[in-house]
Amino acid sequence: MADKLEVLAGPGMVARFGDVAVWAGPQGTAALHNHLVAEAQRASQAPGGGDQLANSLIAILQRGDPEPQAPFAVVGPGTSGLSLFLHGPVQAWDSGRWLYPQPVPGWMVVPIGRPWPLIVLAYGAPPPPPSQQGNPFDLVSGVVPGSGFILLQQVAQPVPAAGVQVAQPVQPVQLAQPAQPVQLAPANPNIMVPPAQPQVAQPQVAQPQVAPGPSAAAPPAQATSPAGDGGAIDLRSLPTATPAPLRLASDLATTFPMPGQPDVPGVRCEQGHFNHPRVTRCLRCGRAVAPGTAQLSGPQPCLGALLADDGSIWALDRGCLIGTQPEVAPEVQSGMVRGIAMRAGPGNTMGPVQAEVQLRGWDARLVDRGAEGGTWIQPPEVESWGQLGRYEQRDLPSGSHLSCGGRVLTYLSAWPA
Amino acid sequence: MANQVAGYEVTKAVVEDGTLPCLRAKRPERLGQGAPVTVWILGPVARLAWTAAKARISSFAAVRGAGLPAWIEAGIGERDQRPVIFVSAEVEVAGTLASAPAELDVPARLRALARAARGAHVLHEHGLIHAAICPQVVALCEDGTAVLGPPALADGTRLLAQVGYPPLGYIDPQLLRGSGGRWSDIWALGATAHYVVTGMAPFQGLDDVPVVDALSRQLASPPPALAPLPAAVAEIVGRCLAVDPAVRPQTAAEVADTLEQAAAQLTGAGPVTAGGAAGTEAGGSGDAGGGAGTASA
Repeated sequence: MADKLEVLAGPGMVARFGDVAVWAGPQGTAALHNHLVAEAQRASQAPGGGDQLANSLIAILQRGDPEPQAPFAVVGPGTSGLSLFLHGPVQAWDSGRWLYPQPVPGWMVVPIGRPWPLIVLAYGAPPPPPSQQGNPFDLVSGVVPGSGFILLQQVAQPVPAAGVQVAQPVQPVQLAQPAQPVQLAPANPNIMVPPAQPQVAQPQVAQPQVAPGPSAAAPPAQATSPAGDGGAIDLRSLPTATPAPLRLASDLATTFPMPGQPDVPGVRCEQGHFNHPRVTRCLRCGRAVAPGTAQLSGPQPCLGALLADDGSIWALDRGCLIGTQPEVAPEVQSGMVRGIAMRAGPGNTMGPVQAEVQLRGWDARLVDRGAEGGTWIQPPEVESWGQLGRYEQRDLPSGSHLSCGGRVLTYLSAWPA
Repeated sequence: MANQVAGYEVTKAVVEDGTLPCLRAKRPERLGQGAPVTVWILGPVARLAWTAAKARISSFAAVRGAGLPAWIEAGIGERDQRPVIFVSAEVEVAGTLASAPAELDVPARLRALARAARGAHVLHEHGLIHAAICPQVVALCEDGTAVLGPPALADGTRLLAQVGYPPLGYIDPQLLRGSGGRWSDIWALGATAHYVVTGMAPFQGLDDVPVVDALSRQLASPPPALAPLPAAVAEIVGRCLAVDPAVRPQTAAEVADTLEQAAAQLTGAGPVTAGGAAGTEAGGSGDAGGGAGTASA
């Protein structure tokens, strides 16, 4: 692989052999790391090493995932460019999108062509700063510590003749001369970074739940209108808005539930509304659903609501991420999950992405996202709180309280138990 | 000072409750001379950051029409030593449907609600859900008219609702399940009409149980417990409270028309007062469709 591989400092392991590169997070066992290294070495000898390594991993996982919480990624040559294998809480930027297993953790394999840069790092980790031209770090071969890596196109540079000391000024190597026809790709791919802001959709997040002091209040829209303790906006001179009218209920046929929801088993009422298999009446129209109605697959409706300790009510029509900056997560940026931004309670810490609530069919699941402070759960009729292990998942029955960063939310299902 | 909110000198607490405090006040100097105004307290800042609230309020204030007050300004003030979000309007509010004087008869209350429904319709035609229609937000004005008060800071889509304003019994279960729309305000108009005529919310007991239990109950779209209703309003209340949005009146303007017709029918039809209805027909306890036999319509 002529590509340049910059290792990101931090916990974990980065390995490279030929055209095959591996990253594994610190959650993995030494046995897993050793296996990945050995397999990467072996695969690097084959022409389609990326595909070969992915296939061998899939063969293992299909028999049972020995370490579902261990994040790792493997990239190597495939039938069409590079083949990328992701496992567990890991994400990769292929210069056009963030990729990550769904659900998290899980695994996926995907051909990605020849993207530059390709970034691999832990799921939920913030994107690395732009790589600078001239950055000398380049893992050529071997195994080193690292929290991820960036695969970059190797900028073509003049190769000094054998034995030539590049640094010697007497040599006319012209490494630093801008007139040198260095083969920079358009827009200099070496300094491309994933977008820090949402590309697809604005993150749907709440605002921080703290009482701002006077300095935190928004500045007045009009400087002449300072309203006592905080800025005020003058509403008298706002331009008349002319957005589209709201839809009529009679136009709703296609709007319940959200388009693009995964299919789950359920029953339909006589009007065709999709419901939980055990309903006795349709939640959409109220009509009775006869016992024994045949089950079929349909788009997943909203599961219920999350009630936060500040009184906020959030719909669980998709998964959600909870933290101080959930909008940094790629799945929030893509609109696949909802971000619920909260600040930590007094004396607690909350990570940018602290906890996740996933939808699994008609059930919810709580996932710890590995941040300091952890994630806690108190199922209904259980007296005490229990802490999840790092990246652990647990079922979240209706009525459960979950806590992270000193804040508490309660999950309430709209459907029969 | 205790009797000021962001420079507004409070002259009267029209309503001082935990849902939507409503204050009469002298306008601050920065607004120039003019008649007294009304200030609503939308809630402590801690519940929703000002940035989001500002966007929400601004979008509302840009809409003008029948049944809506002329908004003046919104901002952060202090009330009871807590930072709160306030909004003021060029209107002199005397009370609300939640605190209406006894001498205001049911037809007059229905006409006030019809006026608020017209305001809701204007908002809907401008792409906005009010998401907080309840007796507390229908403001009765000194001049005998009525306006629809400020919206909930939660927009009914991203953030569905905030416990407190409106009361949970006035939030459409469809909205609580992430499918709010103009039909949600129409549902709330029906619930408010029920209160106007009977003095009771159609979902009783929600305040007597923990909010978790109350929310859990409402998420499942329970049938309303309708009190006996005058025939003139029974059908519109039942239709508004139908589980199925498609069965509900399609527009708030339709609700307003029907409420005005009901008010006209009830005027002079006998001693109809809030909390007790003469000449009633059984609204029943409701069924899955929201009572009044509309479930399967």
